[in-house]
Amino acid sequence: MKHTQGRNRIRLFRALGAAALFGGAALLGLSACSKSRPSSGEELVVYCPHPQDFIDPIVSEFEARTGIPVLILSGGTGELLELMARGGEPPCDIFWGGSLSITSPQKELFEPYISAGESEVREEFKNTEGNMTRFTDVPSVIMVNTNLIGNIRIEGYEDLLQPELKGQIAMGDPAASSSAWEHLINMLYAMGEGDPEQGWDYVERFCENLDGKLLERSSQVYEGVARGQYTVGLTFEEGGARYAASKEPVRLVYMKEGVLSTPDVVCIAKSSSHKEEAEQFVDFVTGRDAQSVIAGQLNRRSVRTDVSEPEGLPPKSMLPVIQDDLELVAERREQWLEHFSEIYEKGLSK
Amino acid sequence: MKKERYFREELQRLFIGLAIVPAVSITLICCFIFMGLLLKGRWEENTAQRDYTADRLEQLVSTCSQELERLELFGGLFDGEPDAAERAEIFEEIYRSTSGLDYEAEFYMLGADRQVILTDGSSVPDFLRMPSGVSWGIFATMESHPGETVLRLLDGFRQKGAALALGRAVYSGEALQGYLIFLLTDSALQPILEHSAAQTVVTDPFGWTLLSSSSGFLTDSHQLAREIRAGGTWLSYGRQLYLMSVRSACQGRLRIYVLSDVHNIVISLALNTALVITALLIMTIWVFAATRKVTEKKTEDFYRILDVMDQGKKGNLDCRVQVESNNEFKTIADAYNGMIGSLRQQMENNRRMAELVAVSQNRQLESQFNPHFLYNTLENIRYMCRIEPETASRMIVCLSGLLRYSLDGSRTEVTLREDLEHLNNYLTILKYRFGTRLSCAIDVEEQTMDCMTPKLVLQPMIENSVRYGFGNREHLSVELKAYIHEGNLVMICRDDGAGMTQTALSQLSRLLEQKENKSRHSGLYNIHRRIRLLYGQPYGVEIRSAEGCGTTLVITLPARREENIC
Repeated sequence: MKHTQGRNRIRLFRALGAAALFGGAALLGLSACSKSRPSSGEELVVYCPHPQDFIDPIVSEFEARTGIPVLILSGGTGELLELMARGGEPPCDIFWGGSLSITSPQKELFEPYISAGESEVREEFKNTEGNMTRFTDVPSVIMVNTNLIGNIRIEGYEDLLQPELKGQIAMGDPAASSSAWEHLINMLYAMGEGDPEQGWDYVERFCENLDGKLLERSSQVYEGVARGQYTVGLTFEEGGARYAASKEPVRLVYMKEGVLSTPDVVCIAKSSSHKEEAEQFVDFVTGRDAQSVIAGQLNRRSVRTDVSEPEGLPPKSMLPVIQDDLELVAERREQWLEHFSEIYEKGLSK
Repeated sequence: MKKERYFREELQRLFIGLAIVPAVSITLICCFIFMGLLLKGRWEENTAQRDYTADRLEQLVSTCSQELERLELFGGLFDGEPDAAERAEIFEEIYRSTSGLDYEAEFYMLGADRQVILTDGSSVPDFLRMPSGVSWGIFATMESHPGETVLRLLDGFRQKGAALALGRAVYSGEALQGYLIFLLTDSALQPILEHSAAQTVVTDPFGWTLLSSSSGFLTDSHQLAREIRAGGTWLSYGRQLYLMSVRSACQGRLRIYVLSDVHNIVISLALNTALVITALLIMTIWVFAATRKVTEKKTEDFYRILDVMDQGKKGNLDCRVQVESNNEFKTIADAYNGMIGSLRQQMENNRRMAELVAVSQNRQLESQFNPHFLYNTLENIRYMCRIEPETASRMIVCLSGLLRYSLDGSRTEVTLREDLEHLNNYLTILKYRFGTRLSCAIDVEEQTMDCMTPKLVLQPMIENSVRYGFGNREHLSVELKAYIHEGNLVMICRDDGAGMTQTALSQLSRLLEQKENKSRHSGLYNIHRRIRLLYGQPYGVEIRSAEGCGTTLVITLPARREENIC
């Protein structure tokens, strides 16, 4: 009798179980199908702080020409460098962008490579380190929203101290954004008249006028000014020039106290598992075609001798260019960032 | 109780096996078939849209490239700035080419310096304003494939203004003469997407998008999301579930992704399944509860019959089966009740018959007076008549009282007091017979006096002592006791006589247990037999004796007073 009972129960549960399974199976099947995630194994991974609008035409042309798919990881220069040093996922093949002054302290992350077009590169942008291929020449500029500026005269850093601009200045965090870091160096050298340590006095007064606003990413600066959230912004030339070129109410001001023009770089990561493709990428973006398009349509200054200066931008010879000491800057980076942060914090607590 | 469980299990199995499981299975199967049909419909719509898109694009591309090849053969295209007549002739040709197309295509003719010579478009897009010498975009592709018509997606990264470009670089010998280009813009191709409800995305192999029904599938760079590009037929994207089919077109230059939203279908499928399974669970619980109740109710009569049968098996025949319902069980119950009734009648008859037999046997037994005693007493009386006629006369009075008592058939049981009175007659006779040789002590508790005993129960005890106790002795003393012990009336007759040999004792004991007496020891046997007949086991006579140590007789009876039990 007990056996019969047991069998009956088993049969009963089997029937119930079958019904439940029948229902569950389809759903499980469905969810299992959709679990597949793309892998980055086939793609060239590029860590890149450039604006999206700048990246897309170049990357899509590279893909069409070489057939190598590219995966872009966007972010601030500091953030991406940190991710790369940490060995983040997906692993970096190419570090494309970021000014020399911010990337060179981390140059041990990059694989030595001399690009195919190195011989055509201007003397001042030669890859002297062996693993830091210069990509473009990036002067720092002040971006002005012409709808908001009214009668305020902006010709240089000094003009940013005007009380009418208090809280209206967009600047990135120099620790995270390479364009903001460039501006800090530019301020120190330009306002210290060659001696960066003399420039801190200006930085203090400037920070007061920031009114406690510091942006996390450089894109927030040019977007903020173009959208009218800020009247002026401290950014890099191309960031503003794109808007000026598309006839938006934006004007670029090259600081009369002096403009620092630091190149940005395109480097192959030591950790890259696509060395050959990475080399093709570096050759492509520093090649004549890409550099011509960058200068002709994307508002950046080429590092090559055989590419003419961008239309719509003043020739470099017209700019009040000043020089910095790259080694000194690299050496003092931590110290200066800390100093700036102190000044900024002081402004906040007031 | 096992049977009840089995019956209930059987019922549950019937319910589940014949009702719930088939119902649920059929519901589920129908549900799945329905869903399957819906999904199949979606899938067919999806693949139809995919094939339609691919066919339209391929047809368009092949027509355009044929036209380009035809135009290339058109003489004198690049021979300097065409005059009005030549322009008209070329335009006539272009219009004839493009009018055959279902979608509007813009035509561009560029010189070797990449300056536009002729166009029917309104404005020249940026990607055609490429300075000569820069190998970029469509120009790079055309120059790397001289003499071929090339296909290239341009500005796929822009929200608006992506275009499919078909172009040919025209060479005269080694020298580049110019370029012929058809542009199919996204806005011109938009009608392809409106052909079906399924969502369509047309990209190049890297995901840059030409056409898209929904911007939700695209990244900020207007690139098809990587999850979709890597996805399979079942695609989960943005919390929605899609059926996706992919197809390459135009020699792999384009990829067509068609996505059908099946989220609602799958959600309703899941909901339905969950509902059916919940219903199944509830019904199963209900069946377990209900069958218990139903079987308990329906089998109540059944178990009532079983219960009464169990009782009957244990000997209790007083129970009757009470069945209220009017069904088969009623018939069974009635039959059983009838059977038990007649059985009880039969047993009652048997009992009465046995009683009658016992009574008549008892009468016969109690009337058996020992003839030896009678003989001896009569001898004594004869002797006494000579020497002491007074004593003889008294002896005769005692004997006649004794005889009358023993012959009185009206009563079977008397009180101990009464029996004692008549024992005195016997003892008087014995005293005359034995004189000082016999001494008799009677010690009867007062409370035992009213207890009922069979008639003439004491006399045989004394008789037994006198008969076997003297042996060769001169003197014998007999002690008679009666008391109540644990609800029993115990009567003891002890003598200090010769006692019995072990053999005699066991012979006597055996004799007592026999149903019939063929020996001459009738006195003790009779009293034992009568007690057994009247009161049953374990009452009766017990003999304890040892040679030279006297004999003790113990009679045990239920202690009853007249009419009521003590």
